Amino acid sequence: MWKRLSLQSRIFILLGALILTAVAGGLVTVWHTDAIDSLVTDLINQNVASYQAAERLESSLLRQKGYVTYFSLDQDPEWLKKLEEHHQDFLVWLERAKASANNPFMSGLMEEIGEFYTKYRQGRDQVIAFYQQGQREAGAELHRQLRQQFQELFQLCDRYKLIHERRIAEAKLVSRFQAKVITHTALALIPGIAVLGLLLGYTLVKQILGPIRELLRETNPTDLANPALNEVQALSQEVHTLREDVDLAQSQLKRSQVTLVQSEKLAMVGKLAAGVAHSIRNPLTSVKMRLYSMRRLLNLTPEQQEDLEVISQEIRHIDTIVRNFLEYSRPPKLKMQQISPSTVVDWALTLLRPRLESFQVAVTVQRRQPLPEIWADPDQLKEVLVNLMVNACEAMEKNGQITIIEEEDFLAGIGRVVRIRLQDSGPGIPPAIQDKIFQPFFSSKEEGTGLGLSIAARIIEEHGGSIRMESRPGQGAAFILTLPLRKMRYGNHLNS
Amino acid sequence: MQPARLLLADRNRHVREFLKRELETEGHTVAIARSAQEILTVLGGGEKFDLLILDLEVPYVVEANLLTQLQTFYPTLPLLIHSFQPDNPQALAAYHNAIFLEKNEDPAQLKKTVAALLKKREERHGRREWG
Repeated sequence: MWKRLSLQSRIFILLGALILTAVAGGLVTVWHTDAIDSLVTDLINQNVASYQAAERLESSLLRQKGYVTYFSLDQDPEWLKKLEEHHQDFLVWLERAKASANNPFMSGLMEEIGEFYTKYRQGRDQVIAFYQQGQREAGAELHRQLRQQFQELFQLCDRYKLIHERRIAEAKLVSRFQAKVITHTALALIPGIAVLGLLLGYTLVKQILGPIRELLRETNPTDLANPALNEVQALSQEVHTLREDVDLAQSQLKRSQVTLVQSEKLAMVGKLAAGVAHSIRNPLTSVKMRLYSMRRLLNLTPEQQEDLEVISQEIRHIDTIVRNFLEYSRPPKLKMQQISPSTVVDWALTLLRPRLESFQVAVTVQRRQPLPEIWADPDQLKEVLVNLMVNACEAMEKNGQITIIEEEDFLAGIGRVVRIRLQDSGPGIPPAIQDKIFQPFFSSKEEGTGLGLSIAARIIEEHGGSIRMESRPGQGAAFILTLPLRKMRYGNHLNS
Repeated sequence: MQPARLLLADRNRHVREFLKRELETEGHTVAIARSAQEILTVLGGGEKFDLLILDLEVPYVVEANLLTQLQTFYPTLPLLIHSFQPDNPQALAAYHNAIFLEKNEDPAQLKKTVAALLKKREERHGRREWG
């Protein structure tokens, strides 16, 4: 049952019980204190006044003693006067005592005292009369009896006083008992409050603080060591960071999904293209063979010669497209070896010399010393450079200029790299197509296959490097190849 | 150089005929085959050939188990593979005693290679076999 309650309910129940217990304890104490207070007040109001009356009654009775004897000795009426004063006093206190008597027994007792006193007074008046008349014998005789009566009366008064004393003692006992009840209740509540407090504390520590600390220890232990943060602050910081991470991961996932869809599409198109290229290649070879044979055997007029030349050119173009398609769909495996990229640049320039001359393009190589050797496939790298330079030649008018800058650099996270920058003096690449030029099947050239730059980019990527283009209209275009300088034979390609 | 008997297999009819024509101008006798089965049928017909020129793209090369058949029944028949660069370079490794020539439009390369192969065979076997 307890286990099935939610943590919040458990804490609320414990907290409620704790508050209830504390409040109940307070209320009981207040109530009992109040009860004792009224009890004591009653005691003072009733019994003490009544007790006082009883005491004064007794003392005024006691004071009457002796006067009759003194009178019998010297017949001085002064003694009688004094006796009368005390008699009046007694009567006053008797009335008060009667008024303060609060139960029938006490009233009865007072009645008895009153009657007894009246009888005693009558006897005393008789004795005084005897003494005044000079009958001393009779007076003394009655006086003796009277002393006996006085003794009894005094005892009655004393008893009345004693009853009061006992009542006060009883009230004391009751109040003491009630005080004990309060003490016991309070004592009983103290462990209750302590137990509930401990339970609440245990629940808070075990169910909240502990798990929070555990979470923090798992996610970021340095937060625990930070004294400026308490656990909840640290946790909320962690949760905040976590949310940011999740957001980031989500957007990355979305982006990579888009990329995946795109690359899947491209792979599909690539496969299709390869299939088409494969099928075309066979009849195309036949055409090429016949054309070759024709040119060798025929004696043609200049017009016919030109027609045939155009046909040959266009067939060569188709052939290039087909070969590029096939190459794109089956990237050749890199044959890695240690070589300085400067050597490869030189090879590419040698290979392209006739073409560069026909385009009247001047090439400048900025090289302080040959670049260090890297692991690379020289043929593929040469292919990339040739491709980029042919593109540049085709983009530029006559008398163009290609500048090749070779340099070394250090990149954070990658390490040492070599960089080859190919800058041309052509019209540059329009901003609108700049982010598409590396996509397969994108071409801005009439005779382009749309695969040259995407193949180049893939070759560089398989070397673990990157290719990047910078261009501002009118200021030419620059292609920047960055290749890692690795000690180990390693490429991005699976089998390299 | 003595004229020889050649068996030429190519997927494309026009290529077959063109190459047959070209090789015949060299004085050779050229028989043609359209598929792996036809190669085996022609070879099994009792006629002796000096060289097999094979395009790997002819149908049923794999299905008819052509390579094993050739190696088992015609181990002395020289093989010239006249084909496009195959998708998988390892595919050629199985034809370890064959010569590979990439197909292109100029038949001169083929003629030269054929001549060289025939010469080698002539030297190895002597002229008596031709008598």
